[in-house]
Parts: sequence; C-alpha cells; structure tokens
Amino acid sequence: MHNSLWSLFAVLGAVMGFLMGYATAPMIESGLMSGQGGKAPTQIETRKAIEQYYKDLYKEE
Amino acid sequence: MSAAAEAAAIDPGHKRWALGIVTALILISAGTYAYHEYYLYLSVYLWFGFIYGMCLQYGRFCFSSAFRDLFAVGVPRMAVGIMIAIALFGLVGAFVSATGLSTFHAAPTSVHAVIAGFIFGVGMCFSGGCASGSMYKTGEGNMNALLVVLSISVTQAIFVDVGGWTNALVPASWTQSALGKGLPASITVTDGWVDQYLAGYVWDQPVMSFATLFGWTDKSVLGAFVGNLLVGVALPGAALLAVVYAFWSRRGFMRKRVAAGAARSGWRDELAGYWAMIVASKRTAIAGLALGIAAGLHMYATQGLRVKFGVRNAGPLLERMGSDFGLSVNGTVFDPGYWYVTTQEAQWVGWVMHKLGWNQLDNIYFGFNNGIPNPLINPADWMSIALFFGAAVMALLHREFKFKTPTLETATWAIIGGALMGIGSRLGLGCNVGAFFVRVSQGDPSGWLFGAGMVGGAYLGVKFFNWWTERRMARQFA
Repeated sequence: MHNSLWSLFAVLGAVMGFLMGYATAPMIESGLMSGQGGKAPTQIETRKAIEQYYKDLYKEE
Repeated sequence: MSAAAEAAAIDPGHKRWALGIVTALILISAGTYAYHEYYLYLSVYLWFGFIYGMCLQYGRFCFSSAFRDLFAVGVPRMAVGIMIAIALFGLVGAFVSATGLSTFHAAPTSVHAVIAGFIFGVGMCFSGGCASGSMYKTGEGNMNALLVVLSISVTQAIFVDVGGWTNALVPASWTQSALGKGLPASITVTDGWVDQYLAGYVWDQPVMSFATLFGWTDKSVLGAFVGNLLVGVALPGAALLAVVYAFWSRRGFMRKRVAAGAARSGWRDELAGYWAMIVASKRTAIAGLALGIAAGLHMYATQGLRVKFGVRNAGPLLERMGSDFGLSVNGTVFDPGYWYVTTQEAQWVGWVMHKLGWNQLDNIYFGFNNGIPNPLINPADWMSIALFFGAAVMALLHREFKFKTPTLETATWAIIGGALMGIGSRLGLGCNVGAFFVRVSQGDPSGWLFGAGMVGGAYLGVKFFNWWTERRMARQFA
C-alpha cells in the first residue's frame, strides 16, 4: 500500500508542480510577486451580445 | 506488518481501478490542455478537487459523524479534529490573505446564518452525512451517500426558483428592498421567495471580518494574523475545545490519572488532559492541515491563471471557448477559487431543469450570481467530480472501498436529510464547508453564526434519532 501511495504522491507532485509553475510565471511577469506593485485585472470581461441577450429575453416576455 | 506485506495485501483489482482513475484524469487534463490552453483553469479545479477528496477520505471528515459521536456517545475525537483542522486551515489562509492572493469573500452577517445552520444541522444528522462527508462516502462506494448528494442538489435547484404561493410569505419590506436594488430586467426579483430573501434581506446585512472589525484590512499582516487568525479562529477555537474538554474528555482522562496513582488534579494535569484530547485527533488534524495547504495553493494557482488569462472569473473564459450558454447576466459563473461543495451541485440540476424547460436563469442565484454552465465545462463541477475520484482512490488504496446499497428506510432519511441540508445551504449561502469551515478559518464572523446554528440543529437531530431508534426497537421487541 505504501508503494502505491508514494507513487500517487509522486504523480500529484508532478501535476501540482506543473500547475503551480504555470500560475507563478504570470504572477512574476505582472509584478504581483516581484514587489513592483503589479495589479490583477479589475474588470470582468463581458460580451455586449450577452447583455443584449438578457435584455431581449425581457422584451419577449 | 512490513510495507511490502501491506502492499501485497491490496486487492490487485482495487489497485488497477485506482491506477485507471488517476490515468484517466491525467489524460483528461493533458488532452483538454492540448485542445485549448484555457482548459488548464478547469484542470486546476480538477486536481485540487482530487486532493480534497483524498484528504476528506483519509481524515473521515464528516461533521455529521463528529456531532453524532459527541452528542450520542460522548466521543469528541472527530469534533476536536475538525476544530484543529479549521485552525490549521486558518493559518494557511492568513498567509494567503497577507500576500494579497486570497479569493475569499466574506458573507453578510446576521441571524439568518444561525437559522440556516440549524436547518442544515438537523438535516445532516437525519441523512447520516454532511455535504462534504456524503461526497467522500460516495467515493467509497456508499450509494446512500450518493442519494444525499442528489437530494441536496435537487432541493437547492428547486428552492432557489420557487415562486407562486411562497411569494405571499415574503415580508413587504423585503420586496421593496429587493426592487430598490435595480437588478437587470431578466431577473424576476419579485417572483421567488429566495430572490426576495437574498436581495431584500441578506444583501442588506453587514459584511465584515474580524480584521475589519478592528480597523485593519484583510490583506494586512495585522489583519490576517491578529484579526482573522488569532481573534477570529484561534481564541474562540481554543475556548470551544476547553468546553469540549470539560464536558466530554476531562472525566475519562482524570480517572486514568487517578488509577495511575496521581493524588489530585492540578492545572498541569488539566493542560495535559487538554493536550491529550487534541493529539488524539491526529488523523483528522493531518487531513485538515493538508486541506488547508491545498486550499491555499488552490487560491494561488487560480489567481495566477486569472492574471495570465486577464480575467477575474471563469465566465469570460467559457465565452471565449465558444460556450456562452448558462452564463449569469453579469457574464460570470460560479468560480470560488477554493474548496466549495453545494453550489456546483445545484448547478448540475439547474442546468438539467433549464434544458427541460424550467427557466432557471430568471432567479438571482443562477441568473445573477452563479450561472448554469454546461456541467462538462463547469470549473467547480470538475472539482466535485474529481473529489469523488480522489476519495475513491484513497479508499481503494486503504481497502475501504465497498459498494453499499441503501435500504428503503436509510434512503428515506437520506432524501429528507439531504433536502433539509439543501434548504439550509441556500439560506446560509453555503454548507458545512462553504458557510462554516471556510468562513470561520478566513475570519468571517458569519461562519461562527452558521456553526452555532449547526451545533444546535445537530444536537436536536441526534436526540430525535436516538428517540426514533429506541421507539423502533421497542416496537420490534414488543
């Protein structure tokens, strides 16, 4: 059982390492982790068409 | 038994299943990433969900079992373990908050959280598993727990959209306040009890954290560590553990001390007893620490990918991938960035109901806040499905996986209890995880209110169940 668990932990470690590395690069590039005062995006992007879709829903009623 | 002998003791079939599950998840992650980079955002949920499932199964992390053990047979071990897990999660959360990477948002604080917690507490004792406990038990092959999960899911989806005669139960002040919120026209805010409850009452309640109560921000070191962790988690947690020690653990410990020849109990003995109670819950505490670290890393990874893709929510990502159905009116979907249970369960059913013709996008819960995206590309759904698999793999490797089918009686209680938990979850804006475990550990006072109600409800639920069982046995042997 221990061998199986350690194998599982190794797989998880590899996957986590990839994901964390992938997430860290943009943090550094944007200055969030370098102390350069970077900012995360503040606007949630929405498509105008979606807003219109909901307005149209109301009109149909 | 040596490690080699233990390894040999695993059923080869179980081992193959565990390997197959992990391989399938790797292939899903790799395949979807090859198809489009944005799927990595969903893979973050998938792999953290898998880890949450492993932790839950390893720690037997079930609030229902914890309260049943405490109130029915006087064994505090799991309740203590959960409290320690909250403190350890709080420690990790404080680090994440202080670095400004937390995705946590505090909830409105008022008496509604106590009432919601009470209903949830009764429900989890009726069903025999809380929201998180039922998920890991499903992963262990317990089909009764799956019924609980289904009951929670269906009840939530129905409850958030029920209007009609329930509108007559809404106080006029809630309706007026809800109308004043200026919600988009597609949200029928005056039709639906929950809509008016949310927009007319809950949203008017104060949102705070222990840090902000002291005038600090959650992102400051003082706010995160002193306000939210020390004052919000550690001190009340230690006080609660002292109560548990005094009522359920002290007598047994002192009896052993006297039997071992100690003359009388002093404060050193009391401290030793307190500590012994804490370390007796090692397995749950280890699971709690792992959960805390995983949740912290989960927040970090989610934030990193949000920065990379230039979004603050998964909604725009789904839209860019060509799947704009089911987004909320704000263009968002449920995307907490940390461990959560009930909302994605409601979304599964909400999506199905909407497809069958029941408009679920005209209510606040789905239409304005969380959306009902296709379950195949719903980020939080990836977390929940992977949670089942994580628990299953852990159970398979620990020889604890076994298919169990419900009886008519246990199925009935599962459905009733699950329904109560579904209602409690929506009233409290979360379950034992989202409304209690996460909120308390992040310094949100509303988490303690939900917890107080949940303890009360669990006490009533346990007492009722004892009475029910005794009555049934008396009839059988009469």
